[in-house]
Amino acid sequence: MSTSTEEISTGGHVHSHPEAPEQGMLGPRPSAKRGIWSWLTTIDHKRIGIMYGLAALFFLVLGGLEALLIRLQLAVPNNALLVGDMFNQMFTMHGTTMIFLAVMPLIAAFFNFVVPLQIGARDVAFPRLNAFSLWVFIAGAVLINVSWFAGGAPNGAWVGYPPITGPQYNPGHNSDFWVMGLMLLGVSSVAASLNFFTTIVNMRAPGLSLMRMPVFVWMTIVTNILILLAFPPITIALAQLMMDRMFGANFFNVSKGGMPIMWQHWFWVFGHPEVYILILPGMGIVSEILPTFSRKPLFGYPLIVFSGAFIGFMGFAVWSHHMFTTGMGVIAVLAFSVTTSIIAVPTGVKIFNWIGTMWGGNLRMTTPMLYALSFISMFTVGGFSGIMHSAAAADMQQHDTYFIVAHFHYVLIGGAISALFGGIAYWFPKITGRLMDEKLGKWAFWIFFVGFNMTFFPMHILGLNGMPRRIYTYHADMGWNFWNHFCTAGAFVLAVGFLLFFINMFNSLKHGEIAGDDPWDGRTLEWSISSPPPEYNFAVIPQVTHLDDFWHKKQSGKASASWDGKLIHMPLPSYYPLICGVGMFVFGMGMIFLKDNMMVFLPIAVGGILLLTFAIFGWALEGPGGEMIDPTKESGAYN
Amino acid sequence: MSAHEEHPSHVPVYIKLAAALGIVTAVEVAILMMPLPNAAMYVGMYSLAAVKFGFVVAIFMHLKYDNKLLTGIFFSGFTIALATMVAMVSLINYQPTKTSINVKDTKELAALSTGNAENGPAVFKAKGCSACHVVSSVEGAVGQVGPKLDGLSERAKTRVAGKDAMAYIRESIENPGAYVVEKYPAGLMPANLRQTMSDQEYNDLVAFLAKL
Amino acid sequence: MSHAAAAVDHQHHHEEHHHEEYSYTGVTNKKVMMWAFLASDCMFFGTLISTYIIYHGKSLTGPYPVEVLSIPVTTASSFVLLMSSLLMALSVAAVNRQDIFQFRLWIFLTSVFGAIFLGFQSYEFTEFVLKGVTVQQNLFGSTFYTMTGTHGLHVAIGVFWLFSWFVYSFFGNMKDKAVDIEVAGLYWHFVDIVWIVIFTVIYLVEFVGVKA
Repeated sequence: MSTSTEEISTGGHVHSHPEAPEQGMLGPRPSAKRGIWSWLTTIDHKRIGIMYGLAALFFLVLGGLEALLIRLQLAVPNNALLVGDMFNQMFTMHGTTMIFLAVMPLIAAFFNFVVPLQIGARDVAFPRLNAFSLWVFIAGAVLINVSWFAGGAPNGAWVGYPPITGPQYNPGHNSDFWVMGLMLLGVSSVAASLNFFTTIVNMRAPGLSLMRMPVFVWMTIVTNILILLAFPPITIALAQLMMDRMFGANFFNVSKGGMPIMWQHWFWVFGHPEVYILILPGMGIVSEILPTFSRKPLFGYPLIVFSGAFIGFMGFAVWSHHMFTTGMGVIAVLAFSVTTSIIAVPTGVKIFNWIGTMWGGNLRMTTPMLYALSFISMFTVGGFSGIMHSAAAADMQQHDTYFIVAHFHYVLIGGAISALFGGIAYWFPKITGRLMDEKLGKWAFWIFFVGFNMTFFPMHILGLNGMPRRIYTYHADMGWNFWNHFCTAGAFVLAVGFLLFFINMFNSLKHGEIAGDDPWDGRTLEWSISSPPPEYNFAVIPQVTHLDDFWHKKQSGKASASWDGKLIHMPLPSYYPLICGVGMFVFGMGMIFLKDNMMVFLPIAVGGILLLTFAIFGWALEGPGGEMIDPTKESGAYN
Repeated sequence: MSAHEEHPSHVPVYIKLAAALGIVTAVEVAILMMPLPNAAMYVGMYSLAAVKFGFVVAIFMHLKYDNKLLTGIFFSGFTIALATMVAMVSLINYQPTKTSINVKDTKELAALSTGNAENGPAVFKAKGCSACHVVSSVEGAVGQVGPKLDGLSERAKTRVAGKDAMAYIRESIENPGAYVVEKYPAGLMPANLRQTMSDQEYNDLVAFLAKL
Repeated sequence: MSHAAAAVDHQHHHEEHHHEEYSYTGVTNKKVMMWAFLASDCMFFGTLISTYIIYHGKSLTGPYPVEVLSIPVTTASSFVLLMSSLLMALSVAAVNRQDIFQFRLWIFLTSVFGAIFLGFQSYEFTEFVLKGVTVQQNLFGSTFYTMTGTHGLHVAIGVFWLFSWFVYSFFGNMKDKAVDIEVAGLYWHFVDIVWIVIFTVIYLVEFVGVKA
């Protein structure tokens, strides 16, 4: 079926179906190949990935600045830099920003850029839906951050427990922004997951069976299944909170019999899979980097794959370990202790497999490799402090202390961010065509590594000494002064590490060494095409015969396939995904202020919905469209 | 898409199924009117709902005729959703009142310390104590292997510093080697006597011995 | 249509949509995506239904569900929705045969039946508000309106979607649209099976053990 276009051999850049409506509801389809409009209307997975990545790095910096302010406030006892509600807003936005606006979109950036290349596809299954996910993400991210200028940011922590976020105790708009923003981000994530799930199931190159898929692709599909099943509960919980806040419902209103504990349950039914959503892609990236720089195949590939899938599945059976202190009763506590202990096993299996991959390998200590090693070691530390909490008795002592803060920062920075930065360094040459500077990269890595451990290791000690989370100050006699001071100093070292990494990225973009197609002697399909890849990725769809197919082709000398003279069909860009994002944003803003003034904000909310509806109709009527590309005539590079 | 044209028409099946669904719905409502036990009603209604659900998914939604991949996708999500629902309802609605398995409530504690002395002789004989100990009020308790137990209550009060009569007697049964009376051999009294008795028997026996 | 024309048309059809047609598994992308979405939606409605079950019987003030829910009205609306599933299946079968007249007829009736269901729901909501059940009144009101409202929103989107296809069929080419209709149909049947569950769990079971 895929061969139907190949029958056409007339040259040139022609449209394949003159009957299809070239005129959408907004006139002709966008045709810009360069400039701002080409980016706003793009449906190219590579461009969308780059935009996800840039937005994520922007919010990473924003969340990092929020973290630095938090550390400054806590540097000395009885400080008065950020007091009370302002501190609450700061840590709430730090957590929300880092999880939903920095790490998740950075992961989405890799899904977008890398997955179609690794499976030998020319784009994702639904290119316009992919753009829709991006713009709705941007809409949600901007919406949450508008709150800073509209009466105060969300202040109920990233977990948003009512009644703290309920209408009785949080009458401002702070939590409304949080609720609406997270709903939009949920829509974006679910749409993206449907897309990537379908892409990986259906768009694989011929011969790329499940057990020949790169581990990163495997972890992507597991992550997307987790998103599909974990986001609905939080969406409903948010809707219930919204009903309470905007329409006076009683879901979490104790005086009418509501049970705030139910929020905690639904939140963590989402929240625990979310932890794996953040870490599994990192595991996938590390599983790509290690074999490449060890010059060995991944040790125990099936075990790594099944462990990842098992972690994903078990992720739905451990949520209540976040709630051991809520008095669930012995049986529930025991059950969730056991499941939590079980989930450590596949994680341990993976760590041994990674070590086994390096064992006896020809190791090249490049920047990506260093980040991958940092992932293994720091994630192990974070994993150990995590498994300690499966013992409910220990958890009761450490609940809501800085020990927990130390634990999840080891998992999220030492784990997820290490892997993602390693991924940036690893795929930077594929994305831009230029290598990142190794010398500066190593400096950035070591400063990051030292700064990270300086900041977060002492938090274990602070937590065991009883320092609670989310307090804005503490008394000088508590014995916490030294380590708090030390953590703050470490935070600035860590910030320098990030800064150097960004300087390196920016600098290498213009002055980096030209990479060539395959700078690392890679193993997977993305290294078989030019850097940066052409718009259509593969001039000829590869036929896959092995795990690490490109490596095998290089070994057998069959790596380069020349164009077979058949034109390439690519879908056309579209305005409508962007308009959908704008419509969702307008709708969200209208809903947030609805109860202030029905006459003004109801029309705004309805207007947003109408704009969305208009865009969906325009989208449906214009169809995917398509143009035929001659790879010898196109310039090739997507940027 | 061309595959559809090769299929036989499912239209007659659809019509039969719709009729069946209508009938099942009527039966569900009829169950409510019948004088059935509540449990039977619950079972009947949930089973019929499951049957309707299953047939719509299999026939109207074509899973029966389609690629098995689709069945796998749907029922993975459905199973996790169902399991989460059951877990959630149980977690919130059926919270145990006890918070720890090690603490006995006051009723159990009271039962531990009060026994009925009148039942004591029966336990004494049934557990074979008579073979080794003399108790003049118990017929057949003439054994000479262990110490005589007449007047035990007085001796027990003072035999071990810091233990009252009750504590001494309990310790001597639960752990016979602890305080062996002089001139009697150690290790002869079975160490597992306590385990052979129920809480009630044990308490009755101790109450009886404390009155000798 | 002559044989040659049909062949050309077939060819054209392939050119236009070949991008959609490549599939590793042989199942079209849209169907894989819709089934994944429905798996996800199981979790969505699972959360809503378990919230209703958890809060059932925990309202501090009336009106209570047993006082306001009406089995006759809901049985009628459930029957309408079940039959709309049949109509949907018929319209999918018709579009697969490229019988455009029947397709229009069935999909039009499907959306009309959906609209009738929404009419029942509006009637029910109005009745309930008159009897004092509001979102603010008690836990029953909050959970009932949120759950059935979300379901109603799904139905409304479905009606809108199907009616748009009905309108489209008058000026657009339905030749390559069978998959789109099938996917819309899957969504519609799913809305129906959710209602099968809601009808049993919320309406019927409420009256077990209650003398009518």
